[in-house]
Parts: sequence; structure tokens; C-alpha cells
Amino acid sequence: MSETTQIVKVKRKMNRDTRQSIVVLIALVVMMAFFGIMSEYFLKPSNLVTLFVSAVPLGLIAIAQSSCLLTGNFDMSVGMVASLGGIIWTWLIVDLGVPTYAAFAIGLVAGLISGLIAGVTTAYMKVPAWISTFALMQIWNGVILIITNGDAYRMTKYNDFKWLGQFKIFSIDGVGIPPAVFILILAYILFYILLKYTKLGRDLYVIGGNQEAARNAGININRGIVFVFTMSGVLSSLAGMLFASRSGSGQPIIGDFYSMHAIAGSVIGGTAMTGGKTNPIMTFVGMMMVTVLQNGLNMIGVPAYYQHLVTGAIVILAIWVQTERRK
Amino acid sequence: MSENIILKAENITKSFYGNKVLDNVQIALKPGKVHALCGENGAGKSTLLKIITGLYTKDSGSIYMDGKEITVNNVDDAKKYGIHVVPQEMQMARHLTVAENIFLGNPPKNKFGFVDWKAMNKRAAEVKAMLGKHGEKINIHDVAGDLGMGAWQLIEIMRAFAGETPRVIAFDEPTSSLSDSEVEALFALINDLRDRGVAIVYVTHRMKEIFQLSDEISVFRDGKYVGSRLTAETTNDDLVAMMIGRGLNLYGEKKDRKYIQDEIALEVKNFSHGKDYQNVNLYVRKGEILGMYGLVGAGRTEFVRGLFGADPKDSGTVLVGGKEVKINHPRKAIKAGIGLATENRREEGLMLRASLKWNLSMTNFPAIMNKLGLLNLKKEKAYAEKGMQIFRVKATGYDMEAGGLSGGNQQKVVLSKWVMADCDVLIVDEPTRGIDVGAKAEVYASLRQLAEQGKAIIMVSSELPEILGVSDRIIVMCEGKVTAEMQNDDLTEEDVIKYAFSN
Amino acid sequence: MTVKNKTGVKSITQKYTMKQMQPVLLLLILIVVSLIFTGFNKNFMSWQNWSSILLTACTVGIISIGQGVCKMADYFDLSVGMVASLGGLLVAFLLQAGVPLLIAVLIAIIMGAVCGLLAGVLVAYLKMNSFITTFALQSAYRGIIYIFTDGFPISMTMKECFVPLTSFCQKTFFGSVQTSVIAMIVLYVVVHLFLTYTKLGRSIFLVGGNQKCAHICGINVIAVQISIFILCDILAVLSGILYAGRMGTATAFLGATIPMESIAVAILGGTVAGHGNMLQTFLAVLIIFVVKNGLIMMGIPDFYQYIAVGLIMFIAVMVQVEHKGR
Repeated sequence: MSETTQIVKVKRKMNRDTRQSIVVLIALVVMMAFFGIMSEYFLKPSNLVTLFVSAVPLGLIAIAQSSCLLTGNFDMSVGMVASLGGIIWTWLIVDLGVPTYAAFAIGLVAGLISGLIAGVTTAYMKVPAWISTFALMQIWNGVILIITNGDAYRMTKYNDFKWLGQFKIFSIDGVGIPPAVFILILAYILFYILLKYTKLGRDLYVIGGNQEAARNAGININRGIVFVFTMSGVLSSLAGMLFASRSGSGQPIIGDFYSMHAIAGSVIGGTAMTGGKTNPIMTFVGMMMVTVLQNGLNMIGVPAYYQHLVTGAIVILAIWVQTERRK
Repeated sequence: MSENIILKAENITKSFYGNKVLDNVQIALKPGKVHALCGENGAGKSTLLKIITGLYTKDSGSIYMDGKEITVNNVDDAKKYGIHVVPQEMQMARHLTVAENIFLGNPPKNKFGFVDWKAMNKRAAEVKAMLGKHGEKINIHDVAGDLGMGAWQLIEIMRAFAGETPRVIAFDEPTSSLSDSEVEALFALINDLRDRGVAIVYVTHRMKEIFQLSDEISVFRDGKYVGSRLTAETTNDDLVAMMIGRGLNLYGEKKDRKYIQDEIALEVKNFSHGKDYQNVNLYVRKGEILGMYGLVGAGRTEFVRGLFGADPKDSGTVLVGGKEVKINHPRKAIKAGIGLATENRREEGLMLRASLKWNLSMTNFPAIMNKLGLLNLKKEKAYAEKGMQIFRVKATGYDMEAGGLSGGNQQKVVLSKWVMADCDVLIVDEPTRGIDVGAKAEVYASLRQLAEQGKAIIMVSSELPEILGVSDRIIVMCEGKVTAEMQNDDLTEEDVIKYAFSN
Repeated sequence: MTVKNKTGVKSITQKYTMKQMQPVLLLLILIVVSLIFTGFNKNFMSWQNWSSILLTACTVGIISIGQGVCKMADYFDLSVGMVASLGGLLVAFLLQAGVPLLIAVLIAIIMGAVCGLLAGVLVAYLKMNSFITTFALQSAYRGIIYIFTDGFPISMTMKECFVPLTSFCQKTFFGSVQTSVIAMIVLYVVVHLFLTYTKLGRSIFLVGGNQKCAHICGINVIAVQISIFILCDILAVLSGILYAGRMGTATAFLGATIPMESIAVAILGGTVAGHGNMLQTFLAVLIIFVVKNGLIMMGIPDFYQYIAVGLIMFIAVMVQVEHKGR
């Protein structure tokens, strides 16, 4: 039977993946053109820089979420861990007088610990990832509220705090590109190398695609899962701190949207909800699409309330497209 | 003779949760020979295979390679000695390429420790070349998930060639999910491997394959080693006797047709669905067992599922008791008095985590409802009690979980639930798959018992002896079409099998 | 009872420890936790305090019924909190517009059914992951609420038109038991009866246990799955209405912790795909709210309750994972 049919199938399937990528790219371009027409400011260099700057936290969290999805798990806690990172950083500086960069390091360690807990409970204790990260999300929510009492930390006095998010390295059209954007770009390059050129990265594909195969190929599944969750924790915390640095304050709840947007970004970029498939470049594109949509809606004057609605709709649409249905 | 042995395992014992699954067994493999391992389900043949290839660790015993004792604690250890396994469930990372799947978990790296894609593809091409004409069909850049089972098996075999030259390759039920042409290709490849001096272990249920392929046979029973024979000196009957340890008439008494009534219970006309099956016509009388034979992929399962409304069909009419019924959902089929025991009992046949009571009553809610349309739990208990007595299911009670029953008893529960739903026509798809020989006889007796009560039975099977032993009339399917219909009077295997292959 | 032998008897006792012992275990936990809190504060055991525990429990308690039913089919519904808010707001809005109470409630229930239908179609028919899908729906519903209310609650205290609702909800029985508590208990009993004695109820267990088998046995799997979400969202709406009437205000912020707590309840209650019961779910609700209440009585700030519930969820899951392994 099958020789010819198999070849046909392969072509059709390969086309499907590339076609999806092309569709997403076209959609991004169309979306940008639309907002460009609707708002004269949208395509101005200054706004494009703003676009990248505001993409930083989401971009980092999308990496986190993509790698978790790659192993077939969700990380629901990313948004809350981002808040936690920002809060711990600012709290240490303001209330405890810890030097800015030492506090920054401690913030990263907090993310690392959160990720480790999620990873170890998922990998070794076999707790479903969404439940353990959901529970963690609530626990960190409690911790944040205990630290802050629900208030934000204003950081106007602390100049070195703002360096990462506000210092201008290059100036384009009077708008500077802060270090955070370079961190984002670097993170994506590293993410690409990790997934494409390291054994660990390739192993993650196998872990998500076929656990049994991974086990028999001698791949350490638990280590892979702990790795992605730990990475997720660190990146989320970093994202939260870069957000704090840019906004000049530590906010108790910044992460409301991030978990959702990150899933939307990765899934639009072709990451399979069932695991075993992701693409760093397309994750970036998908994430940018979500950012562009948000920024564009703001620019054309759609109230923030509608963005909840739009976000929900986009996530549902993205997942719907990605869900593999048997005929 | 003995100096010619590559791998020898002796006194191997293994227990799971206190159950001894292997008790002091042995095996000796020679280069350039195919060694078949056979026995009933649960005989321990797969377990031994897994111990030799490092998937399980043994509790005690020793394994020798070239006369020296070796320790095999995991798959990597086994690979080091050139011992490989092609498992029953093939293990592909579906989104990765063939080349990556060949080097799964161990991709070539450059001097900086990064994955070296060029080297990987080059080595994959070399591995492919090693398989000669057998590898021609496969493109190492294809994504594994897009390929068929035959290609996956090839990838599994290519894995064996990715490192050191393989010395032992074990196949665990390799043909269970292959199409004919794929089976043929596999056998050619195995013969080729044998000629290259590889020692091959071959685990199978299928008698035919044992005689077609193997040079030697070892038989296991209940976790114990029974004995080894040269294939050339063994007959089918010898082998069966070794496997079941007693002479057993599987199929019961010589068939007596007096139960078959003239009345046609079910008639199917012009059934078609895409490439799966075309223009299938058949009928079955009350009290008759109609055997549907065909190779895997002939469209039998797809046809009965379409008939039952479990999967969609393109066209076709169904007449039950002479009246046309429209069936587009199993609910309608049940209403019309048709039942289907699917081929995959554990996935579709039963609710393994639910009680037998629930399993039995779920096909026939009206029978356990009161006048208000509410479930009557007392009625349900009586119903379940009755259901379990039809075939004397061996269980602790109707509150027991179905998953706790043996395969044979599970199949009896499946049959009972359809009988209890007042089905006049019962379709059974591969009724004895994964059931050991002793329990098979009970399933056959159950089917016979139903036919004698006037039920019409369609039995789909790819096991020819079963078809010949049980059915009154036989229909053969091939590539989606009915190729033959015959009364089962002194038919031989050859009479039937010739219709199962396309011309 | 065809065969009675030694192994048979043994496996029945094993079954007792596994399934039938679960409610006993939960009851024990409840008693132990209550005793501990009584040790810290004598007032804990008062009738007054218990009726207040029940009162605070009833919003999540009612929603947990639906969440538990969802979990039986191996689904989650994270949108329940926002659906509850929507329900309360909608009834308040309709009452303001002069619609009679019963009709307003009926309309809100229909809206809940529509929400459930939407979630059900996405999850059951389009086979989308329930966790993420309902999470996204929650976000969408929040957007809708904000668009219509600007985030402001509708206060019911001063206006005549809300009196039927508030007076109904604030009525007390047996001294200090409010309508909501009675409603919760009634709903638990009703859903228990529904699950035990109706075909649809049984089908929910069967579909949760094995979809493919249920399909072959003639059950309309997708319809059952959709009806689960409809049931779940209707219960959420009822809970939201009762909350609004009880508190005298309909708010968009009802939903923040509800999904989390109801999932914690479902997990603690031992609900898994194909198995679960309302008694255990109810005991789990009580345990969680006893803990919350006890912490407050010990003078521990609210924020710690998040941590407590998160930890309970962790522990409950881990205990059950171990069970499965055995």
C-alpha cells in the first residue's frame, strides 16, 4: 500500500507545519498594517521600540511556557512567580536595604526555588504539573500579599534599580533601547541553541513526544522535567524583575495576564499542547503577535476591559487551531 | 556445539510484587539463527526478553556473553554488548526526524559538546546503507510521526546498527501491528540479518511465523522453561502440546448445524466507507456463527464498526429481522438488537475501574429503571447477578472492579453485557486476542452456547484455526472487499487463506 | 457472588480500605482539625461559629458540587468563579430593571447554561484542553463584566427593588442558619440523588471512566460531557445569586479564589475520573473552611489562607498519587 500514500502524507504534513508558520507570519504583518492604518503612531520607531520593551516580560515567560509545554506540562505559576520576583527584589531593597544587585540575585534564586518545587513535585512525586503549579501560584499569592499587604513598592529613589529597564543603550528617534531588550534577544538565542544544538534540548522533545521512548533511550526524564520547571521559575522571576525595573515599582499583581498570554504566544507559534513540539523562532513570533495586539488595541483606543475578552478569545482560537482532532 | 553460543542466560528468576513471573528459566542463542520464544500469555517470554535486553533487571540467575558472565542493568549496558530489542510498542519521538530517532538520547556531538547535525545525518545515511535494499524506502529527513508502523520498525532496527555491530536482536511480537507487505519486508530483513550472523530472538503468538522463520524454538509455560527443539524436527501439534501442557480440544465438539434457523437475523447491503471497505454485502441467520476472516488491514474491523454505528460510513443499508434500520450511533444499533464486542477489550470493551455491576448494566438502562425513569439499584443488582451467571464469570462479586478479572473472564463480561441487552445479533471482533489458550476454549464455548440459544453471531478474526474451528460459514475479506463466502465443511486453511491475499 | 474464596474476601477488604474508607478518613481529618482549633480557642466549637463556617463555605461549597462533577469526567472548570459573578450581577441588573425575582433568576440560570454549553462545546466537541480553555473563558467573562459594570459592584442595600432577593437570602432558620446554607445542603442531596438514580448521572461516571467504552455502549458521550459543564455553570450561577443576596452586593471580584478552592475541594474529596461522591466532596468543603475559619480565629491574617489552601491541595494530590501507585 503504503509507499506512495506515505510519501504523499509526508508532503501534506510538512506543508501543514510550514503553512501554519507562514499563516502566523502573514497574520502578524496584516495585524501590524491594520494598526498602522488605524493609528499613525503605531509604526513610528518610538512605538516599535515600546513594542519590544513591553514584549520583554512576556517574551521571557513565553520561553518558560514553551519549554514546559514541550515536555507535555503547563506551568500555571509563571505570572505569579513574575510578581514574586519583582516584589522580592523591591522588598529587599526598600525594606531590608539589601544592595540592588544582590537583591536581584536573590530574586532569581526565589524563582529557581519555585521552579525546583514545581519540577520535583511533578517529576518525582508525579503530581500533575498544572495542579502543583496552580497550588504554587496560590501559595506565592499569599506570600506576596503578606510581604506587601497589597501595596506596590515605589522605586523612584533607586536609580541603579531602573538601569535594566530604562537605561538607554542606543537611541533611535529619541527613544532608547534599554538593556532588557538585549536580555530578551539573548534569551531567545540561547533558547534556540538549547533546543537545537544540545543533547538536553533534544531530549526535551523526546520526553514530551514519547516518554516510553525517552526512558528506553536512557534519557533522564525527571532531570529534564526539573530542568524546564527550574528554567521556567528563573525566567519568570527575571521577567518580573525586568518589568519592575521598567515600571519603576514592584507590583503585587502583574502576572494576571502573563500565564495566558504566554500560552497563547507559544501555541500560536506552533507549540503542541500535547508536548513534543515547539519552535523557538515561532514562539517569538507568536509572542510578538500577542504583544502587537495588546499594544495596537491600546493605540487605537480600545479600553483595557475589552482586552480581557480579546485575550480569552485569542487563547481559545489558538488552542482550537492547535488541537489535533481525529477524524 | 556449545562454543557456538553467543548469549546464554541461566537460572533466571524474576518476581513482580511477590508474583514469580520467571522461575529458573534458560535460553541459549547462536549466531546466524532465529530463536523463537513461545508460550501462552503470561508464560514469561516477554519478561525474559526484557531481562536480556536490560529493560528489566533479574532477581537472580546469570547471563553469559561469549562464555563470560556479564551484568545487564539497563538498556545502555545491553547495547554495549550489542544486544538490542525491537519492542512491541514502537518508541518514536513523533515530531523528530528519522535520523534523530535513530540516535535517540545519544546524538553525535561536536568538540564543543553541541549536537552535530551534519554528522548525525551522515551517520544515519550510513546506517541506512547498512540495511541495503531494506532501507531504501526510508528517508532519514522525514518526520517519524508521518511514517507507518513498518517504517517505525525499520527505525528500531536501524537503532541497533547505530552503535557497535549488533550481535543479538530481539523482536517482541513484531508483526502484531503490521500490514502484509510490511510483514513480508520484515521477514526478508530478519532473514538477511540471520545471514549476517546476528542471533535473533523472536517472540510471537503466531504459530505460522514460528515455522516460517525460526531455526530453534524454546517453549515457556507459567514462567517456567519447558524445553527447546529444532524447528525442523517439531510439528504444530508438538508445539501446542508443549505450550499448553495437555491435549486440549479448543473448539469443542464437532459442529452441529441443527441450531441454525432459516430466519435471517441481520442483512447488510452495499456497505462502503472510503478506502476502508467497499460494497460489502452479507447476512447471518439465527443460531449461526459467521466467521469473517481477513488479514489485518483488510477492513473487517472498520466494517463492523461502521455497521454498529461506532464509526461513520458512507453508504449501506442494514436489515434486522427483515426490517430496515438506520444506524448512525451505537445507541441505534443496540436498540435494533445488535451488540459489538470490540477488538481492544481493555480500551473499549470494559470500564476497567468500574464495578462489574456497572459494566453489565450500562448497555441496558431501561432494564434497571423504575416507572419514573429512575435507576432502581436493587433491580440492577439482580440484573448483574443474572449477567454474571450466563457464562459463570469467576469473580468475587458484582462489586468487583472489571480490571481485576483475568482476560478470559473480562471477555465473558463483555459478552454477557450484550446478551443482557437482549442483542439478537452479536458481533465479536478478535474475541480471543490476548487471552491464553485455556480461556480461549471457554470463550469459544460461550459463543457456541449463544448460537445454540438462537443468537446470530459474527466473529471477526485474523486467526485462521479459530475461524475454521468455530464458524458455521466463512466470509473472507481482502483490501476492503468480500472475496469469498463458503460453508465451513471440511475446509482447510489453504481453502480460505488464498482469498485473503490479493491477486 | 459466584465464587467465595479466601482471596475473594481479601480483595473485598482491600476495596473497603480503598474506596469506602475515604469518607471515614475525611471525617476523621475534619474531627482532628476541629479539635486542634478548639484547643486554641474554646469558641471554635460554638453553634454560632459552626453556622458561620457553613455560611462562608456555601459559595465555594455549591460551586464545588459542579467542579466535582467536572472532575469525575476528568475535566476542570476554571471559569466557575466568573460565571458566579456574572450570575449575581445579571440578577441584580434585571431586578434593577424591574424584572420579577423568579424570572430574573431563571434568566440567570439560562445564561449559566449558555456559558456551560460554550465551555462544553469547546472542550467536549472541539476536544480542547479544559484547563486552559476555561481559564481563557474566565478571562473573557471578566472582560464582559468589566465592560458592563466598569468594575463597580451593584449595591443592593438601599433600594426597594432588591428586597425580594436580599430578604429571601438573609432569612434565617434554626436560629442562625441562613438560606444559602440550606440551599447548599439541598443541592448536595439533590445532586447526589441525580448522580445515583438517573441515567444521565450514571452516564457521567461512565463517560469519566472510559469514553470509548461508553460510546460503544450507546451513550452519547459528547452530550453527557456538555451537560456536565452546563450543570457546573448553573450551580455557579446559583451560588453567585445567593452570594449577592446574602452580602447585599453583586460584585465582579467574587471569583478570584473560587476556582482554586473548588478544585482543592474536588481533589481533597478524592474525586477522580469515573469516581467520586457528594458526601466526600461536602466533607472536603468543611475541612477547607474549618481550616480557614480556625486560622482566622487564631488571629492569623487572611493572606495565609492562600498558602494554607495551596498546601492542602498539594498534600491531597500527593496522598492520592501514592494511592494510585499501589
